[in-house]
This record gives sequence, C-alpha cells and structure tokens, in this order.
Amino acid sequence: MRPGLLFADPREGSGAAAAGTERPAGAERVAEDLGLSVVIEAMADGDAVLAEAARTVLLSVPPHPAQVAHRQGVLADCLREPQLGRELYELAGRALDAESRAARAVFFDTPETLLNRSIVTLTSFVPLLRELRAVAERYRQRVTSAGLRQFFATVEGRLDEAYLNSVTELLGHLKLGGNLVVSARLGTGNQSAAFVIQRPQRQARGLFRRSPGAKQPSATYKVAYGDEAGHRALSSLRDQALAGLADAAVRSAQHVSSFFSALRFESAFYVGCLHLHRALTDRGAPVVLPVVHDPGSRHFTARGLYDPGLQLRLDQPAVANDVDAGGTSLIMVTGANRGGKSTFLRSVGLAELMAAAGMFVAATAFTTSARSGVHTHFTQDEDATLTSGKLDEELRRMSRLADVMGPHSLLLCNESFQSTNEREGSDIARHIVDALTAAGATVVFVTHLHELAQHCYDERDRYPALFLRAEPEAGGHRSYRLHEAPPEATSHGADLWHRAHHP
Amino acid sequence: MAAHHFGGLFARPGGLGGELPEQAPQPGYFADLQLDLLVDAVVAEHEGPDLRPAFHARLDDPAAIERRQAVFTDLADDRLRSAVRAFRDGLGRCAGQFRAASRIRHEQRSQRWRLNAVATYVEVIDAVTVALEDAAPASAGMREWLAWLREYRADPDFAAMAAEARTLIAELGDLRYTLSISGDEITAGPPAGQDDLNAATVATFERFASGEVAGHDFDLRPGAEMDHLHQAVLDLLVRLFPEVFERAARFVGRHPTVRHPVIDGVERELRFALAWLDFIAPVRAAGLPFCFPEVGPGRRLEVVETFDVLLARTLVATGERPVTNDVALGRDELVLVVTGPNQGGKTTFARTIGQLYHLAALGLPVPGGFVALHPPDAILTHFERGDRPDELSSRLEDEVTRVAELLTEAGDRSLVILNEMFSSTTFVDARTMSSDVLRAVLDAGSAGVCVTFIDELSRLDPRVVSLVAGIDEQDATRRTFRVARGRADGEAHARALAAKYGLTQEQLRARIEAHA
Repeated sequence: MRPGLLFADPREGSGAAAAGTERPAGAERVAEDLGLSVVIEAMADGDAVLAEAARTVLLSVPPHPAQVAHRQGVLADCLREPQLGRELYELAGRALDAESRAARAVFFDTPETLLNRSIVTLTSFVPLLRELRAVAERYRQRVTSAGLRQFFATVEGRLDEAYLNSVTELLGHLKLGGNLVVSARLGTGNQSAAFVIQRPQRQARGLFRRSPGAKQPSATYKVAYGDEAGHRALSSLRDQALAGLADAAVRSAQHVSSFFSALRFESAFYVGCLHLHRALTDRGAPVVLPVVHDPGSRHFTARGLYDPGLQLRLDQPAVANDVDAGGTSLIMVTGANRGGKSTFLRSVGLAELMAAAGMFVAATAFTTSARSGVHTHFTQDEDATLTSGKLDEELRRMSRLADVMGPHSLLLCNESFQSTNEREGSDIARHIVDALTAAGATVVFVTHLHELAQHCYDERDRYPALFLRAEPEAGGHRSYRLHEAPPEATSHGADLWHRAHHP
Repeated sequence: MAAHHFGGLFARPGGLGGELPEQAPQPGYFADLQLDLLVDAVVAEHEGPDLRPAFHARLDDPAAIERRQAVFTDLADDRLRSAVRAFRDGLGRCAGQFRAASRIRHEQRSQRWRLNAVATYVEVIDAVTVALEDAAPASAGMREWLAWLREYRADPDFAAMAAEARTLIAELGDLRYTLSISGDEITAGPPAGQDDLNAATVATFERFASGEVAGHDFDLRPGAEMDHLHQAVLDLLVRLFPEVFERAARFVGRHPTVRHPVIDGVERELRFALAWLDFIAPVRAAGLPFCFPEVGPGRRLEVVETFDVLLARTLVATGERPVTNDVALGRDELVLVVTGPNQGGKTTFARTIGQLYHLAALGLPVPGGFVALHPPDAILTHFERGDRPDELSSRLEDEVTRVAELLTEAGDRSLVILNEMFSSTTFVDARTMSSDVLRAVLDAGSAGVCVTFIDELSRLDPRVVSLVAGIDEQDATRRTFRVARGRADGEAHARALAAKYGLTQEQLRARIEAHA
C-alpha cells in the first residue's frame, strides 16, 4: 500500500529508501550551482523534514510527464484545501513518533523483546489508521485530482472497520504466555529447526500436560533443577522458536511504518510547495503551473522567467526574461559581465527542476519538454587542485557528467573551458556542444569564448540555436535583461580588467 | 571401483607428461617479473591445498600445452564452468561435513553429518556427470574424464550407496513433530495441526507491504550448552522414531570414506584452472581480451593488445583500464630495446612480455587479443635492484657477475629480459658494457627485451627493434602507457586531452546515446 501522491503508478520509485526517489550523481553540485538552498529554505520554513523532502524530490531523476501531471493535480487540490496537506503530514508524523517511542523502550534485541516492541508499535498504529480513514471520508468529495481520490479510496477500502478489528484480535493472540507450542523439523545436523509458533489453545493446554502418552506417543525432557547451563539453553531454544514470529511481527510493523513514512514524505513535499507559494506571492511575484511536453519534443518557451532564489532575497521584483527557444537545442548567452547571465542560467535551471518535480515555476508562463535530467558545469573559482591543472579538472567534471547524461537532458554551462587560451577552450567546448546537441541534449551555454559563440552562430542553419546577449552598463543604468542578438567580438571583460588595474 | 585408467585432465595418456606437479620450486625469474606477486594474488582467494607449485612449472612441449589449452577452451562455456565450480565447491562441502562428523560425539548427530557427506559426494558426482553430458566438451581431457565418470557411476556399489543415502536424507527431513516448551520441560510429540501464528501475522499486514523490508537478524549463536539441549531433544525423537535412526547408523558404518583418488586429482586440476579464470574474470568483464597463444617449435613473438594482468586487476577495480600494447619480432629480429622517459611504462612492458612467456607455457589463456610465441627453454632476467644498500663498487661487481652468469645460459630458445643494466656506473662505461651484453644475447640467438636509458643500444644491430614508451605530459602519475616502434604520433594537445577524458565528439556522443 502506497499513498501514491507523488507517483501515479505506486510501483514507480518504490525502489529507493524513503519514497522512491533516486538522486543522480552530481545532484549536490547542481543544487549548489543553482542556489537551490534558498528555495528549499522557503519550502521548509524551519522544518527539517520538509527540507529533506523538498530536496529529495527536486534533485531526484525527473519522472515521466504523466507523473508531472499527476503531481500538478495533487498540488492544485492542496492549494485549494491548504489544511489537507498539513493534516496528513501531522498524522503521519504522530505515527512515526509513536514508533520511535516504542523503540526507545527496548535495550536488548532478543526475539521476545522485539516481538513485544512490535506489538506495542502496531497497537499504537491502529487508532491512527482509523483517524486517517476519517480524514479520507471528510475530504473525499472535496478533491478532484486522481492522486488524492485514489489514495482516499484505497484508505477507505482497505482500512475498513472489520479489518482494523481483525488487527486488534491478532495483536491479542501475539501476546503469548509462558508456554510455547511450536512445530519443528530436523535440520541438516539433526537439530530441531524451522520453528513455527502455533496459536495457543488455552483450554487444551492443561489436558495436554496431564496426559503424556495417553493417546499419542510423546517423550519429555526435564532440565534438572540447578542446571544453569541447561536453563540458559532452554531460553535460547525459546528464542529460536520465537525468532520466526518476531521477525514476522518486526516486518509487519516496518511495512505499516514505511506506509506512514511514505505518507509523511509525500505530504511534506506538498506542504513545502504551500510555503514557497505563499513566500513568493506575498512578495507579489507570479507563479504558474508549467506545461510539460514529452521528452525530445524541443519545447522551451518562457514569459517573465525569474530566479526565485534571488526573488526570495529581494523586496522589489527580480529581473525577468522572455525566451523563445522552441525547436532549438542550444541557447548561447554572451555579453557583459554582471549583466544578468548567471541569474538567467539559474532561473532556467530552477524552473526546469521545479517543473520536473510537478511544482509551479517562477514565471508568468512556461512551456518545456520533459528533461531526463538537469546538469550544471559551472566554472569553479575556488578550485585549487595542485595535482592537475584547472582545465583537467573541468574536463574530468565534464566526463563525470557524460557518465550520467542522456539524450533528453539539459546541460547548463557557465563560463566553462575558459581556464585555457581561447583557441583551445573554444575548440574543446565546440566539440562538446556539437556532440551533446547531436545526441539530443539541450545546452544553455554562458560564455566569453567568442570563437565558440561565433562558430555556433555560423552553424545556426544546420543546428538551430538561440543567441542571447547581456548589455553592459550604459549611463549608470543596467537592465540585467537579456535580448536576442548575435555574439559580438569584443569582450566586455576588458572593461572590468581595465577598471581593476587602472582605477 | 571403476576399472579403466584415467590420469587426469592435463596428463597426456601413456605417461607423456603435462600433469600438475605436487612440488615445484619457484623459478629464479619470478621476483623480477613479479610473477610471485601475481601467483600470490591468484591463489589468495582460494582455499584448499597450496596451488603455487602448479603455477611454478612451465611446460616446454607444445602438445602438453595444447592439451591444457583445450581444457580451458571447454571451460569458456559458462555452463560447464559453473558446473566444475559446483563440483569443486561440493567436494569442499563434503570434506567439511566429514570433519564436522568427526568432531561430534553424539551418536545420531555425528551419523547425520556422515550421511550428509556421502549424500553430498553422490550429488556432486551425479551433477558433474550430467553437466558434462550436456555440455559435450571437445577437449581430450574432459572427454576422457566423462568416460571415466560414466563407468564409475554405473558401478552397482556406487548406485546402491547413492540410492540409500538419498532415501535416508529424505526420510529424516520429512519427520514432523511438535515441541511444547513449558517451564523447565520440553515435550516432543506428533504434529498438532493448530493455526500457524507466523503466517497469520504476515497475512494480516501484507496489504501494507510495498517493497522489501529489512526484518531482523537475531544474533542466536548457539553455545555449547545449546548443543546439549539439541541432543536431548534428538534423544526424544530417537525414542519417537527409532527405526529410521537405526538404518542411518548401519548405512554410515558401511561407508567410512567415499572419495576416489581420480576425483582428488581432477579436483586439483580444476582448482588450478578456476583460480586463474576467477582471477582474470573481472579484467575480462572490463572488456580486456584474453587468448590462447599459438605455441610452436619455431622461435616467434607476435603479440596484439597485451597488458600487465596484475596491474589490470588493480585498475579495473577502480573503473580504469590499462593501456594495451602490440609488438612483433620480424623474421630477422631478436631483441626489443625499449627507451623513453622515466615512468613511461618501460619496465611494466618488459615484465609483461616475460610474464606472457611463462603464462603461455602453463597452458593458460593469456592477456592479449592474439599471441604467438615459442615455449622457451629458459627465461633469464636481470632487473636492477635499487633497494640494495651495498657499496656502489660491490653492487656493480655483483651485477657484472650475475649478467655474465646469465649469458652462459642463454641459447637460441631462451628469453632474456634485461632491465636498466649497470646504472650504478658512469654513462660511458654502462654504454660499453651494455653493448657487449646485448651483442652476446644476439649472438646466442635468444629472444629478448632490453629496457635502457642508453639510446645507442636501439641502433646497435639490425636485429634490434627500437621501441619507445610514451608518457602522458598532463599526468605523470599514470602508470601504464603505450609502447610502440619509433616515436609516438603527437596528437594536438587539446584533442589529446579531450580523448583522455572520453570527450572527443564521437566518444561523447556515443556515451550520451548509450543512456537513451
């Protein structure tokens, strides 16, 4: 049983630990390059569980567009019924707290103590499952998304009163007394093994003891009084006999607990979305549910695209850009330093991550094809490796990206391969850009390498690309907006250099 | 039992040799060629008797080498290989069960382990015969073994033993009973037919299951006192079911030992073969080639894509791969002189060639896409040993003595490997002395590899082939590089760098598309 609020098909993503979300190699770097932590802090609003859920979903391998639509539906319900997400999150949290309280009370993991711990845990889950069913009954008619409707139907159908009563009855049977009746067979060394505990039959027990060999043959061994080793062995045998049942009980408790932890994780993501939504709209910034097309369809259009990380730190509106890059697989960004190029790159990366996660994005309109992953190759200013050169480091990092990138992935390059002379850097970068776009990937490349930009511009008929340029400061004013323009030979880095060395 | 004689997978019928030696000293060149480290690594993962002697003794008869190669060719079949692996492991298990039986004093428990051991042996023999029949091996060794196995199994004594062991194990396994544990008493009785609480628990919570959960591994190591209690319980069962225990006792009394000496011999041969195959498996899996060398009487050296197998094992473990090398001696060529910068892979190359001759003469699949060479009558090596603390003069004296001795043994079927001779003397002296040594090797008609920093040696004689070991200018810490005739072609710097990281246009595109 899965809540299925993040995945329409519960089988999908059930592999990884928490709720089925595999984090691709290099995800931490992507988060750092894009300044994702500011967005995550806004989603968490001080709650570490919310932060972890947001981080996991945003950085995991992007799901199929059908899953994105599934999440967008659940998110729309949650935005309409803000208390619903919080109720589910809080209820799941109480279940997990009850489990850890039961775990804290146990110091020795013998089969008997773990069996008892599992009984305590499962017993505390029963009223919470009943409460969950009440939530489902209350909200069922008020939601429209397939995800929530399906979840509520499952809860009502599978956690009905008859079932919960049968759970309580079984938990009663599991509280065994001092007498065990186990079936067994001979193991490979003629020792008794494969113990299975039999349900105690309280009336019959006395009779059985009083009639050894009355009807059926039996033989009895009695551990001698004072035989300490013998009594220790007898209690070991009890442990062996109970181990199978204890294991079944421990697993059962884990199954129910993993249901609650999946519910907490999945609802946490939507609670995080509510927080971010409020933080942005309180600042008057627009958000929109993006349109996500099939992978490889080369959709990429944005209106009023801004960097939510920047916006969360500003009181006035952050700079926004429009992009029409449909049909192309390369956006080449050139122009002045401090002209808004990196901010633009982050706004694209964050929008793609958020869109893939099923969230709204920081724009007034956003259409994209689904990506198999978002990757970054940003220049590392602080890099100080002694064993190999900086270019080596850049190439090694690029090679690690090639280990994980697929044909429908998006690569964001920020001033890559500028650690060598322009000729060599352009040459290397050109081959990489050509290979990636030919393989079907999309590249957004911010660069001062003029030869590279010019090459891509010259080839624009064969390989369609969009060319954006940042403008230098003019008359004390800087727009930070990019506009469509061919690359220009003069580097605006020269004015920075000039200022630094001839103040 | 079985009548007809079978000498082993490797032994040529009629006493023509080829069998694995029980005892063989480590050859003098082992340390220089790091074959000692290689063999240690090969046998390290394998239990049982010491296999080192089997890796020490070269075969010099091409027919004996080919008989082994044919067995290895059969073992390239995955099914056959896993069958002989199961055979080896099964015999190990059988021996372990006999050992367990002799350690245990309690009658019915000790008898059970003997019974298990006999049953294991029977299973192993049956399984390997069936697998061999299925795989239809082509080598003489395997076919002769299969013929022997058929006769052995058909023997009535063996068949009767097999049937009875199986019946007894099945009957003991089928005994069902109930134990009631109450206070300080244990009562054994027939099965009670009550509800199974384990299953009821699993069934109740099954609906929540959505993946594997860990469960709990209890630390229930039974102490010695537990043995005693198990024996007490077993005594109760012997009283409940006396007849089957009596039959088991009589059976193991009749079969104190089971293994046939032929099986022991084949097991040792297969342990040798599997040790090597297991060792090279990860290297092979990483895409590096292995082949059966063509061995002929005529002096020959032709190698495609060879590499240092020990280094390759280390590299592939971290996802890297060694550079491979091609080399061939033309008709009138004898000695490869390798020059190049330090750390350029010269010594590794020389070792690799030396190892290749030794490994080929063991009948093993060797590193390389194609290898042809002759089984040498001697492998003579001289490696600079930098760690000697002696005075320079005595070190030189010692070196001169050793090289002179080596030259007296070199003949036209020998392999000579010389690594950085006379480095403790002046350059002029070293050049003169090394030239003399090289001429002596050429005059003896030996095949050879000579690693040197003296360029002139590469131009000494038309029978000398000049090889240059390359170096990676970007990363001097890498340990293996290509060795080729003449000087390597200088690729453009940037392109070479891109290639090093798998980022040329073709490489990159293929890597991305591979993730489609």
